[in-house]
Amino acid sequence: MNRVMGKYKEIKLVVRNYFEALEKTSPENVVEVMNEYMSDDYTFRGSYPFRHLKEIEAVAEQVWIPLKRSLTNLQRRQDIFIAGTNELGSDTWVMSMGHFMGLFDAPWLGIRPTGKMINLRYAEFHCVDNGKIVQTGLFLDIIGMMEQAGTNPLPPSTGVYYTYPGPRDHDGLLFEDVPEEEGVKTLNLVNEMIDDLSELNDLGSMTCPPEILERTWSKNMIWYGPSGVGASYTIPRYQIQHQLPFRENLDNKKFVGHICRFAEGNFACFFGWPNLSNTHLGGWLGMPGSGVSTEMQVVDVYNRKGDELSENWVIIDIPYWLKQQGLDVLGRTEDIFQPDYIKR
Amino acid sequence: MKNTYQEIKKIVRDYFEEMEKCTPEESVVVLKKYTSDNYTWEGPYPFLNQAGADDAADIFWKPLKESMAKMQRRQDVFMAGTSVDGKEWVMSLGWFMGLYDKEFMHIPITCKMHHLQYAEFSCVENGKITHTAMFVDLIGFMVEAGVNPLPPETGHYFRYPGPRDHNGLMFEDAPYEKAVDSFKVVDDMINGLISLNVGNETPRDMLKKSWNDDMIWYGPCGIGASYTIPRYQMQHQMPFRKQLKDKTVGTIHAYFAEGDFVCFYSSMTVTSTGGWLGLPASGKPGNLRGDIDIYYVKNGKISENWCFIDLPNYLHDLGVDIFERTTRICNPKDPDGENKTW
Repeated sequence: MNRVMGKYKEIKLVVRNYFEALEKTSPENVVEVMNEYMSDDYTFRGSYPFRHLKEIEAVAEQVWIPLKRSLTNLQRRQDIFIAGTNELGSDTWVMSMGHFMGLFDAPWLGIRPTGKMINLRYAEFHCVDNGKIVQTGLFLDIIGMMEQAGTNPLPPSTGVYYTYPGPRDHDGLLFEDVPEEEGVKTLNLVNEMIDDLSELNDLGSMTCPPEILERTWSKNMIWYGPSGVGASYTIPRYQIQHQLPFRENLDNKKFVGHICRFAEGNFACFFGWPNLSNTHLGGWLGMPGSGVSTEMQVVDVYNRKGDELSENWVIIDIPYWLKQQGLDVLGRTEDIFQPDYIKR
Repeated sequence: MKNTYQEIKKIVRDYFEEMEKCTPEESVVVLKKYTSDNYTWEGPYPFLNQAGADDAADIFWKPLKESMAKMQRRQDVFMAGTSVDGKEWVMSLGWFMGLYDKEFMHIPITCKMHHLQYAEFSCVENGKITHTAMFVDLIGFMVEAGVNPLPPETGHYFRYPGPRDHNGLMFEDAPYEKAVDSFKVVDDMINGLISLNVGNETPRDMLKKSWNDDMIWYGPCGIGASYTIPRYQMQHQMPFRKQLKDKTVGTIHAYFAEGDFVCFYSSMTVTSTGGWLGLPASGKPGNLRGDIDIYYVKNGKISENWCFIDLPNYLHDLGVDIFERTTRICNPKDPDGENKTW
């Protein structure tokens, strides 16, 4: 095997085969598929309410079987597919980002079905060792799905949420490995950007001068944020519609770390558990301050064009962040839209 | 038949790039550079037919670029070919995206990212674009701005993606033989449907011959998208076939294939018997102008289909101007309607 060009060929194949098998199988056979592709000591981290699961059966029963039953004919529409070695270790990972699309035919997590097409945005990380998936991080924009189903649990967002596209050039599916130096450039640029922001956090800064962003971002950058915040376009509008509300309304922002961070070609990604902690002063998401130090789970996927970051897809586990502050948006929404006292 | 379209693709790509980079005022200059002296342009209601680059820029490009700051063209399909009438075309499908900062057709602004779905057909002759057919989903644009002019839709409209395999951007020519195969799949399907226009049934078996079971139909806003043959029949095809009568198909233009993709634009005259779009029977025919289809053929069958219908024109034929009515209700700066600009 060519260790240079085809370094991630095998792990990409394992994950692609798993995706295909999972998509084709019936809900009843999910455990069987997972047993074939996952190691015995498999662990799973996922968006609230799934969180940390340590058994294949638990992941199948809580995550995949209900999802496949609710979103019939579920298909994975990938926009980015990359692999690499974790910058924070020597473990190798595959990341897939896109939407799960299906017909929303039965309630899911208490969300009222529509009988129509629905798009559940996801970013999925798989750590592969010895031909088996040993660890998964699965992050879902559940509020985005609630919004599409007509049951948005949050006040108006500063940006706009919709079914986001992948990279403008449709070049995110790296089923074949690309030269490693391109990934190095991308990761360096992302790290430079993170260092700039961490420096502001360490100084206790509640703002961010646009010149700092211009060092690493394209002026026409697009930030695709979680539903509840939405997307924005261009540095000035991004600052108004996301960055400044985030920086100004959240106090004690502390970077905790990442579980996995890597790049391939023009794309880089990471997730943490949690990535950071902060205390809400009030205003962000249209919600009042809580005074509680809260963990925040974030996924970032970046696209570099030349020497600038051009697009950035972000999932924040907002339901978990709110849960720590005493609000269960899933339970509350179910109680309102599908209450026990109405028999369907 | 010619088997390279590199030259006309380059002309159209250069035109797209310059049009994106120029100011709203410069759009006419760019259009003039790439179009012939006898250039003609057509678009959905209320833009309709325009003669010459000046009028096309004034009615469409300049106001749109002024409204959608930093507007970029996000293409999902880009293809070229020779139509059955011998003319050479380039077709681009995707979304115009910009910051919706200034009112377009009096639709309330959002100051956020905003989208206009488009399919643009460019006929290129002797190195110049001689005709443009530009179809855009204006109702989708309104819905995104929070002013939906129509009752609830049977399917689901959203910011549609391009082909699942991200293989629609054929900047390099695709092998010719593939186009022949794709074209045949679509052509057989269309001939089958036209033969049914005398009645109003469509047997599911007939669809299964030319469509994959997990097909997706991305319809115009007002109808929305649907997925899988049974759900497509329920959420679009049956209402369309059963609630509209006297279907007459007009001339098919720019009907060609490249690689796994096939496209055309046409029109159809129909009379509603009530129910379609959540509207009562019309009592007279309406013109479904700007009936556009782009197909993605996979494994010998149609897998995805992006479809535009000029519903505002149809409604105008039947006595409702949705732009005038909706903006007067939702954005009543001009309650007497004296400054109507279209």
